[in-house]
Amino acid sequence: MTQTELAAAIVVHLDALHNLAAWLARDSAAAAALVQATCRQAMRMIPQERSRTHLQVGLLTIMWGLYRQDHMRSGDGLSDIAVEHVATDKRVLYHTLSRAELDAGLRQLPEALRAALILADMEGYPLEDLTAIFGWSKPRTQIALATARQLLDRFLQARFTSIGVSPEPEVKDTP
Amino acid sequence: MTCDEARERFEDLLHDRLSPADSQSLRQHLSECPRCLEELDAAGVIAALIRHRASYHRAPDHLRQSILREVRRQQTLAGRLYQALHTLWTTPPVLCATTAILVLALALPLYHRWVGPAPDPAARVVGEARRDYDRLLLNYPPHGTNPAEPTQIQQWFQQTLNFSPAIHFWGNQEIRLLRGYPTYLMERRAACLIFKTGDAISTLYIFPGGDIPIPPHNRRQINGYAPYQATAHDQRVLLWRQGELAFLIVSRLTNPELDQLFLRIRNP
Repeated sequence: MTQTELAAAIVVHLDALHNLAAWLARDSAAAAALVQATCRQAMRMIPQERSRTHLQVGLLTIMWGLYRQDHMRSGDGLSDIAVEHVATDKRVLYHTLSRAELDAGLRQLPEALRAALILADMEGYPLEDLTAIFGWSKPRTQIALATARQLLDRFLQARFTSIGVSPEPEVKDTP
Repeated sequence: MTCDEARERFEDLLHDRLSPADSQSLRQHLSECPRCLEELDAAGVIAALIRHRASYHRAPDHLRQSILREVRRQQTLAGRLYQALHTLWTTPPVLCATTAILVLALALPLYHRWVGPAPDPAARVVGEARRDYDRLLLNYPPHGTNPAEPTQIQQWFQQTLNFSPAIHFWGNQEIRLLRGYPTYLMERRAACLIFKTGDAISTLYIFPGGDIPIPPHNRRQINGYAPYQATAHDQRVLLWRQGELAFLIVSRLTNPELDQLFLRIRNP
């Protein structure tokens, strides 16, 4: 891949890069800076034999590495999280959630889990790509995604509990 | 299918990446395991929420423009440099030429150092004598025997040298003998006499030099003699052979003065 092809590919994948950066960074300026640093490093580092199909994963790997280097001093914190089984009674209310409430719930997740969830559920990356980006094993990636969803589930249900909203009781057919 | 095997396939099921056979087998397990079904249901709800409802942050136009500018800048600087290097190392004729230049650049200094011709003996002896002359001027006045007694110098030479230097000139009123001492030149013993003419110091070396070829060029004609002459900066050197002995004068005298000194030493 030539420098010109690499440059074109970076521009094509810019939205995905910026989306992840925005979900990680504290504000839009920090997100833009992270994207720019990723692109600069990619222009220097991405080897010539890297195929176009793996370029996006390579770019995201660089971004996650840069973010970890600057913001996460002690691992990804996955081992510290234990999620108990979550009740399901308020899940039916999720369709009433505003986008801001959902975003706030996502922001409460640890960075590594948030990033994994964004890439898996929003961008649709398969497990194999996530293992490459985050440097986790496949079972660890599965656990990370399951944990992230359970945590988000708990945060969202807690929100409904705090504002005192309950699902309407089921209407049973009367004989 | 066990619960663990089922959980391994959740991700693929959520994103429609399961083969029909795996999908059928997983659905069979889910119909029999309410806990896995609940887990998958919860994961599916969350995944759908994120996919459809969470904010997607597209790259703003100013960032896109900024990245494009950066990419163009990289292409103009590093890109061109890289392309040039890439071309250099991947085009066979250019690669061959570059490699040849590199090999020559590395080999030539080594060739000159190890394989190249050694400097001729006359040049070597002139070089050594000039360095000795420089050392003498730095350490002036020199130490040695009493110049008023050439016989003592001769005795010293007889005791220390393994040859008899044929010295006929021991100085006069104009060209005073300052010192005489045995020394080494080209790793062979040599007799050295120091003369002073006005303020100019001259040294005469006499040593076994029958094996030293005197170059045929750069000869100075002095009254029918033709000693080899070398000049560097303000130093003049005359080198000649008499039988098995070589004579060498290093001096800062003018050419006529040096000619006079030469004739006095050369003529019996």
